[in-house]
Amino acid sequence: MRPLLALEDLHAGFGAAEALHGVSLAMGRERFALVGGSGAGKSLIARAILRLPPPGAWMHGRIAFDGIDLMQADMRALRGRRIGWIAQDARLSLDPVMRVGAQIEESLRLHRGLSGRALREAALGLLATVRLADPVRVYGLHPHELSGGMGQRAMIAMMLAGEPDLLIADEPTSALDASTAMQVLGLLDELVARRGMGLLFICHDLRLVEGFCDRVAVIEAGRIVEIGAAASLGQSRHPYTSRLLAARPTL
Amino acid sequence: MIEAQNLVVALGGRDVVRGVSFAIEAHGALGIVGESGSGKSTLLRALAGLEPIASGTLTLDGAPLAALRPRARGQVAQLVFQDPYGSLHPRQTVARALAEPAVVHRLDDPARRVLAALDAVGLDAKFRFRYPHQLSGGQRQRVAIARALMLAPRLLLLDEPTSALDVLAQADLIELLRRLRRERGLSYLLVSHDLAVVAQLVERVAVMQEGIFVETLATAALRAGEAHHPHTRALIAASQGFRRGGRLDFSTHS
Amino acid sequence: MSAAAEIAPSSDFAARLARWRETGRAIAANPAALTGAAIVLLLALMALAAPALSPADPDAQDLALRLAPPGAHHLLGTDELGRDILSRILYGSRVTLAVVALIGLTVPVAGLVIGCLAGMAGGFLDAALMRAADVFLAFPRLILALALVAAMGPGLFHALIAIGLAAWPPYARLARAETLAIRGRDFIAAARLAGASPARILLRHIAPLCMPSLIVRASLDMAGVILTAAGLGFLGLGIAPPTAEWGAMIAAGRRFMLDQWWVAAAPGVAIAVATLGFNLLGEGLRDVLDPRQR
Repeated sequence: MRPLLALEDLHAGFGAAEALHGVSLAMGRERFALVGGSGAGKSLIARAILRLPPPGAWMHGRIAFDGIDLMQADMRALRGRRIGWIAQDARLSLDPVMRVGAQIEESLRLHRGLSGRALREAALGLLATVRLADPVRVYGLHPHELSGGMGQRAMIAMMLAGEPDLLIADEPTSALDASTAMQVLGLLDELVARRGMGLLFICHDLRLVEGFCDRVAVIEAGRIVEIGAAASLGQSRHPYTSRLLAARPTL
Repeated sequence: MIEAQNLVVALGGRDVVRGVSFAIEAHGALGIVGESGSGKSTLLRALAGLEPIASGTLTLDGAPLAALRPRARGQVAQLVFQDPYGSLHPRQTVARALAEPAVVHRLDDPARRVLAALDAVGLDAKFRFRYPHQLSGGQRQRVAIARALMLAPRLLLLDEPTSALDVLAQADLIELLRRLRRERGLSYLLVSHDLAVVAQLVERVAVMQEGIFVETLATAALRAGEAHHPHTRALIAASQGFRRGGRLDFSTHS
Repeated sequence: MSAAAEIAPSSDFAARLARWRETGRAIAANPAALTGAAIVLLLALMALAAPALSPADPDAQDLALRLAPPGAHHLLGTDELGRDILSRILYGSRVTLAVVALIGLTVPVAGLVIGCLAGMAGGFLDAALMRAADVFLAFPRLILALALVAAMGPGLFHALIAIGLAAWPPYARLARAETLAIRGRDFIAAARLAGASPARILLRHIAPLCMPSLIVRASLDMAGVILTAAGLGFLGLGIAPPTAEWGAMIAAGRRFMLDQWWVAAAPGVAIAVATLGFNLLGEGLRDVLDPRQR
């Protein structure tokens, strides 16, 4: 079975400093977590896959998405349509001067070619899919008027417009309080299961992904130190993994 | 030591804190947990003197806190802000930022005090002349704590001090806060949305929802699962991580 | 973060020096800033070394050689009174530099003070200062300068006052906007908790953060100031003749534009290049001093 996403020996860095030292991993249509402390290189990997490196960054290696070589492909056709992305804070990732509804419609227009009344209905439909109790109200709001949880749901709605096969979620719950985070995770879980998407979940909290993801890759200082099933994380012998597990306080 | 009765704080025309009462004894620690929008940060800022108290009483050792001049107030209670990236002046070195309280209060030998403060939070002296953008999130938060300690306050108000940090930095900071409290006999008023973090640092927890305390209980009781109010139970459930098959909440946040 | 482990300046001064060096490097890497800075430096050099660089006395007339085209003896030709145009350009740069230096150093500072006060104080003082700014902003700069000079009489000093009065409002507005934005930040609250007075907070914490935008604005503004000063000179309301001044030189050369084009073209090009220099510098500085980096 061809993996949905395969990274082979990915190197990336800024100027003379290398930040990713030969990262390799493969995932299918599963919930795959990428976990590490801040500065480990997790977000850089996400950007490398989307081929949107931060200014001044270089990268080389092999990235294959469903057999397509991402280093050569026309990324504009893939981003949004086959590979979706949600970030940490909607208020920073969405256009601040456009209403939420308008932004979702923009995505729908681009990826599904809708227009007119069908466009608005589809947008409202997406907002309902992400379990917003009052889709019409959120449709008319600007990003800064959304709470953290609403913002995440709005971003997920926008991302669903393209009906992607792979969703990259970069610390989607880090800025949310515990209960909202659980709700958003529940939503992601259901959507991923229902649509058969692959989910690359980037996070710094190993305990969070323990119950949520199928497989986990632990990254430290630009190197993958361990890949395994989430269920067997507790038995890991690797010192960094143990550190990450132990660091999370429990009640 | 610190006692509050029926505090009401308004923000933008709306009552965000709607009648809150609590007491913190000397060297004691109280945690306030709640979701975003519950009013916990506003309460903390009001206690620090940054927001006006609309009604209710706030006393220190029996005397009203409001009677203290701002300078004296700063020697009693200090606030550690949530966002380590925003709580330090971007153009001031660590030493400059730390020296500010000492200089303003005309304390002797600010340089020595700065070194002592850095040492107390476990930062090497070499960090003295770095700018905030040259520090990691955990390091910035330590500097913020060091700054709060400069005037030797009796009470530290902590506004979600670890929310912006990754798990490793969070664990280090919790350990630091534990140690400081032990060494200096500080009182803490800690606000967080994370029950697990709060439980590590305080003996009593107040659960805040929409501007009021819905339940107050000892941390030990919390751990034993003796919570009564449904909101407390919901927060406990959320802190236990993701469980597939749990009930999905259909409501939005307003 | 491994490179960060080596950052350990030994003093506050050393840390600030390191930051200046970084800024300098960023400016050098920015083509617009570098070109602009080069032109501005050239202007300064011309002005300061004018006596040494001039081939002739700028006021020396030689009516036999009037309106001579550019050649061996007079690289840029001579004007209607036989004066060497190159020398007059060089000496004219002194006037331009004086205007730029005096306006550029006083007006932004005045605007900063007024704007910061307005932003910090709020209420009546804020409203009063901003309405005053609106009044001066309502007049086109050159018209206001004209009116003031007409009332006070021509001369460099009056021209400076006129330009200054018309130029301060945007700086005040900018400083006020920045002050309002910075006021609510956590590090200012921390300063309040440390016991700092509003005056101290304004002076030591807020004003330094307003500097980058004001510097960028000032640099871009100098281009306009040069044009306004030249405009005043062109209209005969600037510095008195026979002192060389680029605007006045264009006015004088207007009559001969068709046949002896160099008389007006030389000062025209000088003004254009000087203006371009400040524009480029301002744009480059804006990239380098980007407030988003804060």
